[in-house]
Amino acid sequence: MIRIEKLVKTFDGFPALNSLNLHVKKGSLYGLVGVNGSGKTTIIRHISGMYRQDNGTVEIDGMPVYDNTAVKSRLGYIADDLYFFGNYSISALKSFYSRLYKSWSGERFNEMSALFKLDCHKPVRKFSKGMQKQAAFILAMSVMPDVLLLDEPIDGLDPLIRRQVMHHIIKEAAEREMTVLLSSHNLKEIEGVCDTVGIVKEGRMVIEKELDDLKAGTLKLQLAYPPDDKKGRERYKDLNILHYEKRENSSIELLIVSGAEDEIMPKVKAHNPLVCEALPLTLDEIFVYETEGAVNEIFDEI
Amino acid sequence: MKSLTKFNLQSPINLALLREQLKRFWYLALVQMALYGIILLTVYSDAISGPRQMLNVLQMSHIIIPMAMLFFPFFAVSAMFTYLFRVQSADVTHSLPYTRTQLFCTNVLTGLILMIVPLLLFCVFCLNPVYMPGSLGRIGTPLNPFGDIALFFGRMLLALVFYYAVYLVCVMASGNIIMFIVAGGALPFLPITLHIVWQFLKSFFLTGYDVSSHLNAGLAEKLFISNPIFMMFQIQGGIDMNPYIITYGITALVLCVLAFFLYRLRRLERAGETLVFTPAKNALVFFLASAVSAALTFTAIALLAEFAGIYIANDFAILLLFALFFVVFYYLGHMMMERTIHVKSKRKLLKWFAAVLGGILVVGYFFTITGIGSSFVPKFSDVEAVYTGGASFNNIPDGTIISDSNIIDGVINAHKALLKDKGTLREAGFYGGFNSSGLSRKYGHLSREYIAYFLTDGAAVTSAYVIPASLYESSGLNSLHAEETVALTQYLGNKARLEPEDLGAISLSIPGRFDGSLGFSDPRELEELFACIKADALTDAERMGAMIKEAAENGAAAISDYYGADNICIINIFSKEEMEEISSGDYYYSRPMDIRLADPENILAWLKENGINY
Repeated sequence: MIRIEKLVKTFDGFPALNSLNLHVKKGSLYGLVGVNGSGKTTIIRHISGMYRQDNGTVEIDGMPVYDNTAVKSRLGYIADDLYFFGNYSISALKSFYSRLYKSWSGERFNEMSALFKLDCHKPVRKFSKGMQKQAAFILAMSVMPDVLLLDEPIDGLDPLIRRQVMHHIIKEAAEREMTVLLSSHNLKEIEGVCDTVGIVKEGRMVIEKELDDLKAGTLKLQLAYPPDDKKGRERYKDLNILHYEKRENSSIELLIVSGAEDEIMPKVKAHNPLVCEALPLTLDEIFVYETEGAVNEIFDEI
Repeated sequence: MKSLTKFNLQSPINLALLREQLKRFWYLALVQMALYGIILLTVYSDAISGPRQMLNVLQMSHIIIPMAMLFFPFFAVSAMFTYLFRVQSADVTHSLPYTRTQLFCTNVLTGLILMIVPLLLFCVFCLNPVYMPGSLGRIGTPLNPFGDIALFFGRMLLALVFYYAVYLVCVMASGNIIMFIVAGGALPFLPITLHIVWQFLKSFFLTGYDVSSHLNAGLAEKLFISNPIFMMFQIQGGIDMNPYIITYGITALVLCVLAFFLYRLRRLERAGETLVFTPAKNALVFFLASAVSAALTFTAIALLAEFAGIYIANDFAILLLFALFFVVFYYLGHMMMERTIHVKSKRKLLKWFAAVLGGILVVGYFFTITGIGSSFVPKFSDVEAVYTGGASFNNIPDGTIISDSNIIDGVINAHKALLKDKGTLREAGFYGGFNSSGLSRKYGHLSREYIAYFLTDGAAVTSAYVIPASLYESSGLNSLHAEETVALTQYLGNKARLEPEDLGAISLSIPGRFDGSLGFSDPRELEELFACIKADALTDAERMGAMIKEAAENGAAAISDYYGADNICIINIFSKEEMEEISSGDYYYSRPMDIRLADPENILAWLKENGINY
C-alpha cells in the first residue's frame, strides 16, 4: 500500500531522512515510533504529499504521492500542529471538504459529529487543542480515506475521547481495510492498536516488523545462579544480548535477548540456572533496547 | 522523483477551491468597492457641473487611484498566498487533493476576480452620471463616455495586473511578510536600478562619463515607469498607449510565469524564513554587506579627515577597513536572514566571497579603475571636437567646444600625459572625493576637471578627474583654455544624432539683426533650413575651428565681441520627440540641439530667398 524506498530529505544540509525505507500493507495499522527529531513528522509529510523528497520514492499503491491529486484524494491527514482556515467552523469546513473529496460521506460526518458533540457553527480556532483534534478527526474520517495519516493523534485528548478515537480507527480499518499510519511517543497506545511497528532513529528506519514478530523475536529473561557463580555476562557469548543487568551482591540476572524463544532457551538452560523465567516484554522496552542496539550498529557503520 | 517541470494535463483551476477562496475573501472586493465608492462621490458631484469634469477624475487625478493600483494587488496576493509564510498553513493547504499547479492558478484567478469585479462595477457606475438629466445638455464638447471609461478601465486593469504579478514574484521568493513588502516595493525599480548601475560601471570602467547621456537619460526616464503609477500619471490624452500596454502586458505575463516556477521550486519547509531560496539569500547578503561596507569606509575616511585631522590614503589601510566592515555586515546580514546569531555554517561561504571580493579589488586596482574614472583616450582620427574645463559640458551651454585639429591633438597628448601620473591621479581622484580637506593640505587646491571628446560617430565621451591645480597646469590642459569665455558653437559634428527626418522644429535668432526668434516647423522649410545649417557649420568644421582660434588669439572675451553681434546666429533644433514633450507641457525633459554660428551665410541666403526679412 505505502512504499517508501531510500527516501532522502535534508534541511539546510541536515539529513532529516537518510535513505529511509518504509512499507505498510493494506489494512495495516502501522505505528511509527521514534524519539523527538528522529524524522517521524517528516515521513508523514512526505506520505501526505506536502514535501518533495530530495531523493527516493514515496508511493501509495504504486503511484507517486507528490502532486498527485488521485492519490491525495484517498488520504486523510491529521497533523500534530493543527491549522484551520480563517474563522472556519466545522460546518464550513464540511461544505468545503464535501466539494473537494468525491468520497466525502455526509452520513459519516453526522455520525461523528453526534459522537463528539462539538459546536459545528463555532470557529474551530476558538476550540481547545483537544477539541480541534476532534474536529480534525471528524473531517478526516468523513473523507472515508483509504489511508489515514495521524501525527501524534492522541496528544491533548482526554482518556475517554482517546478511547473513542482509537475505537473508530480500528473499526474503520477492520471494516473498510483502511490503512492507518500513526506516529506517537505513547508506545502503550501503539502497542494496543498497531499490528506493525517501525522504529525511526536519526532519519533511518532501524526496525520495521509486525508487533508479534517483534515481541516473538525478543525475549526478556530473569535468571538466578548460585551465589558462588561469578561468570556473569561472559557465559552468553552465543546469544544476541540487547541488555544485561545484574545488581551488585545479587545472584539474579535480567536479560533482554534478541532471537526466537525456542533457540534461546536451550542455550540459557545449558548454563544450569537455578531459576529461568520468561517475563512479558513491553513495546516500551523493545523500543529502548532495540534502538540502543540499532544506534550502536549505526555508529559501527560510521 | 517527480520532475519540477512536468505538469499534469488536467484543468489548472480547481472549481471547489475557487468557490471556497471567493467565499473566504469576498470582503476584499467589498473594501475595494467602498474605496471606489469614495471616488464615485466625486464623480457624481462633478457630473452636476458636466460629465467632462467627471471624466477628469478618471484621468488618474484622484488620490485613491494610485493607492488602488498599489494596494489592491498587494491585498489580493497577501490573501491568496501568505499562507506560505506559516508552516502549519502551508502544510495543510498542500495536503489537500489538488496539484500545486491547480492551487497556484486557482489562487491567482481568485485574486484577479477580487480586483477586477470591483473595478468593473465602478466603471459601470461611472457611466450613469453621463445620462443624468441635463448633464449632456450643458456640455458643448463631444463626449465619448464609453471610450473614456473603457480607456480608464484598461489602464487601471493593466496597472493592477502588473503590480499583482510583481507581488506574486515577491511572495514566492519571500518567507515572511516583511520581506514580501520590502521586495514588492523594490522590484518595480529594479530595471532603473540596473540601468543606473550599468551606466555607472560603464562610465567608471569603460568609457568615462558619457555626455551623450541624453539618450541614456531618455531610456532612464522610460525605465523609471517600470512602476506603472508614474506612467499612468504622465500619460496625457493623445499619446499612443500601445507601447506601454505591450510592455506592461508582457512584463506582467513574464512575472506571472516566473512566479509560477518559483512556486513550484519553493519548498514548504522554508516557510517563515526571510528568503526561501538559499542562493538568493547569500547573494543578497553579500551585495548588501559590500555596499554598506564601501559606504561606511568612505564615510569613515571623510569623517576622520574632517574632524580628527587624520588623513588616510593608504590602499592597504582602506582595504583593511573595508574588510573589517564587510565581515561585520556579512555576519549581521546572515543573522538577520536566519534570524539567529548562530551563523557558523556560513564561514565557508564567507571565505569564498572574501576570495572573490579580494580578486575583484586586486584586478580593479591593477586596471587602474579606481580613482581616475576612465583611461579612455580616443584616436585623433575619431575626434571631431573637444571640450575641457571645470564644469561638465551639459552644464555650460556656452562652453568652448573646439574643433581645431591642433587643439584636439594637444588635448589628446595632454590627456595621455595626465594619465601617466597615475599615483597622483588615483590618490586625488579616488580619495579626493572622500577626503578633500586632507588632500588639499597635501597638494593644495583640488578641482574637478572634465575632458570631453565629440567623436565622428556622433558619440560624446567625457572623463572627469579630481586633480590638484598644479597637475592640471603642468599637464598643459590649462593653457589650452587661455580664453575660457570664448564661445562659438556647441558641438559642430554630431551628425549621427540628428537627421532631417527626425526634425520637429527649428528656432533661429540673430540678436544683432532682429529681436526675438524665428520658428519653423513646416517639413519643407525644415529640410531646406537644416541643409543650410549643415552647410554653414557641420560641413565646415575646420573653418569654424579656425575662427574660434582667431578669436581666442586676438583676446576676444566672446565670439560676438570679435565678429560682431549681428554675425552670431543662435539655432535651437528640436526633434519630433522633444516637440511632443513641449506640446504636452513637459519641457523639462527636452534638450534641443543648440548651435551658435558666426557668419551663417547659407542661412541668411535662405531667409532672404524665402522672403523673411531681418
